[in-house]
Amino acid sequence: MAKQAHDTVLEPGPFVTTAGLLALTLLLPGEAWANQPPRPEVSLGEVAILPLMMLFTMLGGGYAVMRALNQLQGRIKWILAAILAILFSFTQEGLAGLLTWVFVGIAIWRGIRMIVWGVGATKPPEQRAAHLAQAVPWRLIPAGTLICVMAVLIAGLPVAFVGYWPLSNFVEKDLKSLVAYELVKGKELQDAGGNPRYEDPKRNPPGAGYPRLEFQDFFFHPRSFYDVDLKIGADRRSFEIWAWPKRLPFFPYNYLISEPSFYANDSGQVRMIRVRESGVRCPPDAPVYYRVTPVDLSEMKENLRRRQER
Amino acid sequence: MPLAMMSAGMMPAVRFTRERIEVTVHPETIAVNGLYTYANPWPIPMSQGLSVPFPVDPSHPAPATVTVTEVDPRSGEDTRSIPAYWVGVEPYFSIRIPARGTMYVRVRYTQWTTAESATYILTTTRPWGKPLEQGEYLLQPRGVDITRSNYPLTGADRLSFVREQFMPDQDWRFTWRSRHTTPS
Repeated sequence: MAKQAHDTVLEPGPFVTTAGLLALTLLLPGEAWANQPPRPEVSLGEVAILPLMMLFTMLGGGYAVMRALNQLQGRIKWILAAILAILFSFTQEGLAGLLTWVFVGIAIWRGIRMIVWGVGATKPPEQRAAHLAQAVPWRLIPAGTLICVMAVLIAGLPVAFVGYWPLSNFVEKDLKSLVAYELVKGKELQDAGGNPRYEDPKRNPPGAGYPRLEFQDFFFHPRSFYDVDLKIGADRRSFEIWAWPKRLPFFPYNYLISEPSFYANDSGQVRMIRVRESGVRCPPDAPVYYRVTPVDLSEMKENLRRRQER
Repeated sequence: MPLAMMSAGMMPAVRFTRERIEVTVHPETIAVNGLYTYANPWPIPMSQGLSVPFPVDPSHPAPATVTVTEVDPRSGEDTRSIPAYWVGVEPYFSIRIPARGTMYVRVRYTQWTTAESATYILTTTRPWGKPLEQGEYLLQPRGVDITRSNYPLTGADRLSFVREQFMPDQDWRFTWRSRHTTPS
């Protein structure tokens, strides 16, 4: 039995097919004309699932059973079709997601069949079906189970990531602008003692010669993936701003990526931590990664001046 | 050259031909604006995954975000935002290049530093297998004086250098001295 298993693992047909599919899909990731190719997690799952299924089929001895059932004929045309479908799906992430689910269905069907074959192979040799004469249950059942688990995990990738674009770079830019705005306005509105008086754009108080800038001018169109909180001190001599992701991919896919969560205050420093869960605010003692520069302040003054002229 | 191939290929599917790197140096921050040119030599459209590695240590924390855009080569204007996703410690994104076509990509980020020094990674050109046809590298000091660069700054302004058929064997390191340290 061990010799048979060894031969099955090294069987050139599936091995060459697996290597060929891997090479072709990984070396020729083509696409064409649509607006947005699939993001890395989705395309990786899509490209990897069939080669992984074939690998586990090989390791589980599934190809020996398929050969006994005469099910290895004409596979090359299906492999070519899969490669073409992958290339075409790289035009658009929605297509890539749909194709991933098609491949997931194929993989789950393969996994279930291997489990069924494995269970069938637990019977005494004289009671087994002919195609299971050489089958090894302890290889077929775990390999089939692994294929199913892998497929279910990959099936969630499109759900979690298609359409996910948190725009954190825009949030970062707007956060820096908001800090610069507060510093500029605070200085403009300072009291007789030279203390800054920060203003809350959410309340939209009258400016001192400047046009009003509303909170929405900085942040957060309706589809935003971020929440923001601006707190002005009771004496208006301090402010704090938090901006944190409010909608990361669901578990466990949130652990594949991270997004920045920000904190800033009237020191002009911006602090940041990377988070993998929604709703996590950056603590005020997080590492500083930016301080608003004189250039930022000059640009904000210029921006406000231009708005005034309009 | 901060862009390296990613999961979409075991080797780059396209060619990385040119880059123009402009680094604005503030006392505590560098703002990198990189324009990268990719060419597709194949007769079919290609997709290429790319990552943006950063030199990170305690005094040079990683940027919070990167902004990636497609650029119109005639106007130099950004034409489209490209989403970048932070997987592990680096952001990743994908680009598409038409058959036998060229694509221009701009990557912007800011990196904080308390050490009055910075590094721009150039040695990741090597995985592409071919030297850059041209690389242009510029420093824009803002409130600082540039004090050292391991690549000689040979431009007329003594703040830039250009290399052709460039296969870097070391990253670009430069230092500066601040004229003022806090915003006013």
